[in-house]
Amino acid sequence: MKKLNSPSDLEKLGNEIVAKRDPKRSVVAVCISTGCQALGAQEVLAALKEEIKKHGLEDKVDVRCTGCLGFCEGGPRVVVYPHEIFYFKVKPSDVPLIISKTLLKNEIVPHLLYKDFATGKTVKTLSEVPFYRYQTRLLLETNAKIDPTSIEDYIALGGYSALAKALFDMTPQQIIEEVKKSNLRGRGGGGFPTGRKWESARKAHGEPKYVIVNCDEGDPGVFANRALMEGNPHSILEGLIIGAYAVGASEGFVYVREEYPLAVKHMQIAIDQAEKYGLLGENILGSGFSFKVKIHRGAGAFISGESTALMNAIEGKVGEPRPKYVHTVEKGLWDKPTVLNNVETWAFIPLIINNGADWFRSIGTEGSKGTKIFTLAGKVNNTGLIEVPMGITLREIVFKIGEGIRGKKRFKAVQVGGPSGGVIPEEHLDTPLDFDELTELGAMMGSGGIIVMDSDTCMVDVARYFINFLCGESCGKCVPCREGLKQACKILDEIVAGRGKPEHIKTLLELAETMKDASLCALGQTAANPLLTTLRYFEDEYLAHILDKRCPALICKELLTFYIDPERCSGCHQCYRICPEQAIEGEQDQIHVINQSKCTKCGQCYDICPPEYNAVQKISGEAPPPIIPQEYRWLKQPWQTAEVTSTKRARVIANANVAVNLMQKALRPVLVVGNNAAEFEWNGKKLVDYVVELARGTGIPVIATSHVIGELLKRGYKPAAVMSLMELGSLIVDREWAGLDGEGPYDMVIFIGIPYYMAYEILSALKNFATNLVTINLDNMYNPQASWSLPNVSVKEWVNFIMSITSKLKEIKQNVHV
Amino acid sequence: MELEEKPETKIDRIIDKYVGKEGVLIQLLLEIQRELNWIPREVLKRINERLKIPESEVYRVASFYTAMSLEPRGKYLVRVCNGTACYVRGAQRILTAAERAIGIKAGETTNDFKFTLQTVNCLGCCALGPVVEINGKYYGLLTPKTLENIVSNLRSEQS
Repeated sequence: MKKLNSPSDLEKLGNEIVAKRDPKRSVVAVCISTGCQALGAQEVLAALKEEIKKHGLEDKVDVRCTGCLGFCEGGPRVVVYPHEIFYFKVKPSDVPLIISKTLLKNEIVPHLLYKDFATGKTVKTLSEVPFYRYQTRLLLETNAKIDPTSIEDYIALGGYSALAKALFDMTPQQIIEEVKKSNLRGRGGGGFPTGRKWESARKAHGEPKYVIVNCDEGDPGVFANRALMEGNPHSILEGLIIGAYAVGASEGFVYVREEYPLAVKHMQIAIDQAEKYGLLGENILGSGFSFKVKIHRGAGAFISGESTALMNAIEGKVGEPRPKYVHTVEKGLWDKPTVLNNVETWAFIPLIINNGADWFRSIGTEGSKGTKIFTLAGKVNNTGLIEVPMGITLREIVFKIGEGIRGKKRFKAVQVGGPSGGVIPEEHLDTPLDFDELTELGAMMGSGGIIVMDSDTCMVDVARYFINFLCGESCGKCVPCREGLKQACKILDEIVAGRGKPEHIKTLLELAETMKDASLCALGQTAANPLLTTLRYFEDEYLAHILDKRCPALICKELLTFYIDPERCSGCHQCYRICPEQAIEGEQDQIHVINQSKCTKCGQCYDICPPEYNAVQKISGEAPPPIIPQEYRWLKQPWQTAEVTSTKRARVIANANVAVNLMQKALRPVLVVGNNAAEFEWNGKKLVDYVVELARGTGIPVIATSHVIGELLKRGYKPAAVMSLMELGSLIVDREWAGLDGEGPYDMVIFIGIPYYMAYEILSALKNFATNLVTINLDNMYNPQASWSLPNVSVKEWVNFIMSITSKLKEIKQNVHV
Repeated sequence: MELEEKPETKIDRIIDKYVGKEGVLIQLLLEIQRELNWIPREVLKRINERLKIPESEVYRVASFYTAMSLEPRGKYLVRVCNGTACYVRGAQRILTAAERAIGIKAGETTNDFKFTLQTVNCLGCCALGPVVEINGKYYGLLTPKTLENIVSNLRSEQS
């Protein structure tokens, strides 16, 4: 690799790279950012490489790893070029299809396309996805196009041309003027004009001067800097070198938080590559300007993101902030003039140098120019990184880009700007987003975190979460922040536990004011924002906790009671099985109850209760209804059984004598006649005629089902009862049923003319639950569920059989009477 | 046959790289932490002897930063993200599940040094909350049940 010694060397190299590349060549790009890796991107990548090898396509297809495009929920993401087909949620098992269809045949794999859940339509390209449609992606766009570990990819897209322009066509003063004119404001949260910061550092006395990239993205719920540094480290580095040249710095630091190992790796690769090409180090591009960069890894402290604390950390000290009356642009790192900017701010610099300040100014609002990356998270349908022009409204972000609230819940508020930001309620959703409007509402731009909250979010709990977070992260150097947060935390703990007092609100406001006025650094000064905004917009929720001991969102554990609605419980027993405390009583098919003295309110029963029952309920501010007594807990179950397998099957009635013997032994038999008796015919007579003879001859009472009653009456026979088979089943399965005449339970049921499956179902129930009954199937197909059954016989045999037992039973009856 | 390097020489070898340089304490401690998985008391003393930084200062830095541990940690470092996005999506329940599955509270280490359980402020995978990181591997969109499975897999892997 040859060092580049002039802008024309760089241009030549860029042209060479582009010339070598075939725009029609197939490329499969896999996002390997931390988010997609968490969903298995590495496995997809490995599968792709293997499959390409298997097809011998190594020379024809490139596999490229790219950075984050923001829509992490759709990960792992794969893009196939040259047609730019975007596949989402790709699994390793999908890879063979991608190769065989899309790469080899130019066909689309429909199930991997993005499906718009609102319209149900699938889309092929990124611009059609609603999440992207409303964005303006100046910074994040490039992430999809380059391999972050390849400087050639970056140069091929015109990378480092801004550096060449700055070094050779502009003086440091001109650069500063351009940045000032662009009105770029610091993206780290404060919104201080970048150009002015640079100018002060340039004018400050002291050598050497330093420039620093702040990638200590400690705000929970935010990952814009990580995505940029993982996905396009050269853009940050190029901005940093230009800044160093403008302010006259010879050394720079990239401070990366400990939790971002991949960002560190990619930045280190970028630095090494830039040095090899002579874009960093001694005599950059032959301009005479020299500059070196080191990475400093954080060690896990939120406060280190504060500029002076970060400088202390780089010096190897405890990361505590310094008093602000000493300006870091004059006395920063090792007391030398220092410019510290956020990752996003640095990444904008090459764009501003290349496209000019006027282009940048054309985007955004009066006071805030350009675009801003936000992290959209929480209870919205689409979450991820979004880049939008300043001035967009929160409503557009939540309902257009985010496509509304998850699970059809109601929107409650957004929390903007990280832990020191504020909560914004629905009535302010139409405010255009920029630095000044947000401050006006009590929130701030901060790190650009937008956490959407729905009706299931408790605002007191949210305030407690942030105060608790800041309390843990306060470095402890100044009293207002250290003690103020601690006391606020204590009070909020009391309130969510139901021990709040009305005077607590006043104390919280006093604490907030003191922290705001008297804290040393921004952490303490803004720490009260979550408190103040929740009190300002959601005081009713505080009052509900304090006065009614009630959490309206049903979140605060100690104010909650779980109970099982007996009307809804179906006895599925799942809650019983999952309860870690054995606090649930009940058996299958029984209404379950919660033993409140054992319940730890972990909520697992609530989660597992199937939504179609929705029996486990959360209540707050009221006592649970009394537990129903044990004897009423059994749920009424249908008598039809599931099929119980057993080897027990009906014994075959081999001849009429068997049936006769059985039937004459019975003390209280009953004959059930179904409508098939009116269907079968033999010798010009219907089966029902033979049945009437049997009934008359033996005197066995008859229960007629369905429309066979008409046929019986036509023949002048009046049955003992008419009912549906289901009704009969319900009665006869009950051992205590005293019969139609009320004289006691039957001991034998004889079925004839019953549709086969109905007989099967009822006989199965009787076999299992009415074991005192003898059941006889006199229909012409064998029914295994009866105690005794005819075998499979023809209609002729059947009729003969009925006639035979009729005459035999008649005879016996007459003999008895004689 | 090669003898395994003693921990003391290992530490000295790491310290060697930082002798005579400015502002190196944090990076030095982090490197030792990576090597030993924690920072024993002897290391603080050794740094004091070799780099002439007061032991109190070394202790102050080592106890300030959450990435450094002055107590031995388990083979698997389970870090439950408690960032805002994860929190509103139920990170507390994931933590409770982890505590139950491993049998320790957050901040503790099992007696057999197999697991250490921690909470972390934000892992930057906010769109995938709730998230847990175990020894550098990220697990997104978790439920208490899947976390329990992951823990039990890790447990059976070693035995």
